[in-house]
Amino acid sequence: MKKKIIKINLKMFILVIIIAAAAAFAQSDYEIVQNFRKDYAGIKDKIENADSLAQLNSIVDNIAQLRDKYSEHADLLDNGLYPDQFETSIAKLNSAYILRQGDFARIDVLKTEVSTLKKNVDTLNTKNNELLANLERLESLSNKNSKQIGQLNNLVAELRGSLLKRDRLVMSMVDSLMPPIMREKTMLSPEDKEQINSEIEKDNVLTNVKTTIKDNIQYLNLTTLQPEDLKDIQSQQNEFEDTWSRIGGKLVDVYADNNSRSRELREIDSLFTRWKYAVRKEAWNSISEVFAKKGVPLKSFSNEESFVNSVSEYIEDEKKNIETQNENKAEQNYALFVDSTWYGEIKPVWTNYLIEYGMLSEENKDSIESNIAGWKSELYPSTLWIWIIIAGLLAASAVILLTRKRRTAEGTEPPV
Amino acid sequence: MIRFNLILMFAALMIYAACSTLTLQPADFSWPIESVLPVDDNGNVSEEKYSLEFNTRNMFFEEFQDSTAFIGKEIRLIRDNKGFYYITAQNFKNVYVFKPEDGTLVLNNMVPISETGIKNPAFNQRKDHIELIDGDTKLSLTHEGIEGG
Repeated sequence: MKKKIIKINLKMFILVIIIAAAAAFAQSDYEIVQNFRKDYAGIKDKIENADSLAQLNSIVDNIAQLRDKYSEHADLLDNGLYPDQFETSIAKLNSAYILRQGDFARIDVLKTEVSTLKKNVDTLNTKNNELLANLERLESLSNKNSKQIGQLNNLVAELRGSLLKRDRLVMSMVDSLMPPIMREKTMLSPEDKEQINSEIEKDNVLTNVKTTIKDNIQYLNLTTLQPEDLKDIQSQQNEFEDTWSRIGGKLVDVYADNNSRSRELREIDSLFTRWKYAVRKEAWNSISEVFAKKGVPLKSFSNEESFVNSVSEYIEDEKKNIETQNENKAEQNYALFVDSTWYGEIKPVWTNYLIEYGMLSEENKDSIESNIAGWKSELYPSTLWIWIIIAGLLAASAVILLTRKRRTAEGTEPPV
Repeated sequence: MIRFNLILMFAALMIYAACSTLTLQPADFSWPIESVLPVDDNGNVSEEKYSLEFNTRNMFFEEFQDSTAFIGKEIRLIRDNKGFYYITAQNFKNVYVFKPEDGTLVLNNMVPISETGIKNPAFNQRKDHIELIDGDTKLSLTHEGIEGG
């Protein structure tokens, strides 16, 4: 009897298991597809947001698990995921994983590059300091001999090359602070911020950016440059500013809670402005030196308005002095300013540059040249009117003579 | 007479051939997976994948006798290999079987499923029928009704 009861219970148990198993199979195909999509998207997100190679590597197992879990529904998923398929979806995840792995490999390479860059930048910083000191010393010599002038020129060229080299290294350093994927993020994660912060601190990036700009400003202050040099500097400046603007904005976010670093970022922004101003100032200084070397005593100028005023005032003064000063002196001054300086150097060398970089308008250039024309006409008044009067007098004399001759001829004729 | 009969048969054959409609077969209209579609404020549903759009107001009214019953609902829709559409939704007592006809969906069959309403309905495409599941319950449906039911 007991055996029979056990047998019945066993049958009941098996029946329950079968019913439960059948119930377990009552699953919606739609739900399977949706669950797959959800799991797939979850893994994809994890891959995209992995912060380290270790974290990324742990996701490989998730891909394998996803495949195992859904392989029995492969046919259903092939239909349900159309135009994708089950296997292509898994392959996409694997590709995304490999691609992201490449990002981390690139980050490692960048880290190594940055460490090399840092060493090079340090070396160039020291070298540039020495060069700037030498340049300052030579510039301060009042009477330079030809050897010293040669030395000075070599030094300027060497310093320019060295500064350019260091600028490029610092730019690369700034550029490598954030891998492209990090730049595309609208919000940086705390891990991203930590990583950037540690790179910046380790490599003194902010200090290097500041030193680079300051040295460039100092170089501009110590040298007299031609438009071509200034154009090179301006293009390099734009390149540097572009690189910085791509990263700088994100750094504000990284250092939102760090007052001293935020201050440094603002300082860098203002240094960029000073650098730009220094290039413009350098152009005006160089032009001023051209006039000074020629012995044209212009009032000092540092922008378009003061330049135009200074030139106009000089011309007006010269025009006023025509009557009072020696004629030769007035003509010499005119030749010095107009022929030798304005049309000899400023116009062929500088005006195009000034106009191209918005430092002088066409109207102001024309106004200066029309002033020059006025000055010329006052200094060398036109003699055309004298010739017209002479021609008029000669014509009148000829008419009178002819009239008299005719009358005389009429008076001597015999009466008929 | 035999000759006349032969001519008559030939003529009948010709007429039949001329009147028969061109038929492409076999054809399979089945959707591999059901679609779960939200009903918009006007009662319309739209399935982009199959370029299908229709209005569900009358069906909801038929089911609940309430002209606003469609608001905030979603329907579950699948098509079988013969081209019939099976539609149901949560708390529906029936599965509605429609066939497409001249720009409309015409009710072919209304299959009663549960007196208390289907709690969590879902359709699965099976080889020769549509499977309706609701929790642990599984039913095999054709456009004629419940198989074996």
